[in-house]
Amino acid sequence: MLEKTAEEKTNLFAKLNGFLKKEKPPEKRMIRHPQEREIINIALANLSHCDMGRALLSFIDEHHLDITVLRGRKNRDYASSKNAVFISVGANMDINDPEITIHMAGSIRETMQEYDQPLRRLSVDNSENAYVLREEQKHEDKLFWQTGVVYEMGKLHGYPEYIDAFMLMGYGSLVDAYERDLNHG
Amino acid sequence: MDKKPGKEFSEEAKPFLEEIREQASNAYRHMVRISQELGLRVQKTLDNAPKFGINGSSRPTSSRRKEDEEK
Repeated sequence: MLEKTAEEKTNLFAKLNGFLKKEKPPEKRMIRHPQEREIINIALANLSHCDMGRALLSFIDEHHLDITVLRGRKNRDYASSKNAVFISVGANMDINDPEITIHMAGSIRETMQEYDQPLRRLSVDNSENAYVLREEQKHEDKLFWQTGVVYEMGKLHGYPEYIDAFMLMGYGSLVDAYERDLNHG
Repeated sequence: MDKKPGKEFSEEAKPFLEEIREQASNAYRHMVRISQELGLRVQKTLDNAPKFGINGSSRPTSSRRKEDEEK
């Protein structure tokens, strides 16, 4: 009899499910970064040192979000959805590099935006102008939060390496502007 | 925590937003193209699908099977 029995089918699905299950160690999944857990632990611990970072962490807890660290070809980049936070880390990067924490902050903030009507990503049912304007607003907001984390870490809590890393990313001028706003505000 | 960019920050961030504008515009056009292609493909599949009832074949699959079994 060629037809598979119901039990065999169930086993097949169970096997397939086993491949997809979150509990599977990240190291076993090719696309995942081999040091995913360490990276997440380090980045979240770093964020807990400053106010804006703690606000980001509270959001993760509140919404039970999963964080995924992918292994990238080059440095880090990120793309997030409403239910998950993603960052990509180069396979040869030092996992203590502050840039990873800065990207983590940006990625969490992008996820937060999806819960905020004025910053939620627009669909292509909207006009191109509306879509592009929203993307600009989202990017400015994300940069603002990343800068806030960098400023607090670097200038208030004694971790100047965050400012150095942000400068290397090309955003050093934003820290000064952020500080000027604080002083004028 | 409701924090908003200040005036100085927004001014300084402008050059970075210009980069994003082009990327977003390209992404938008790409997504529109994909959705149109997908729409055309779905339409083509629907056009080629067997039709039953008033506008198509007079015999739906289930009744044909029943007749064949009776034969």
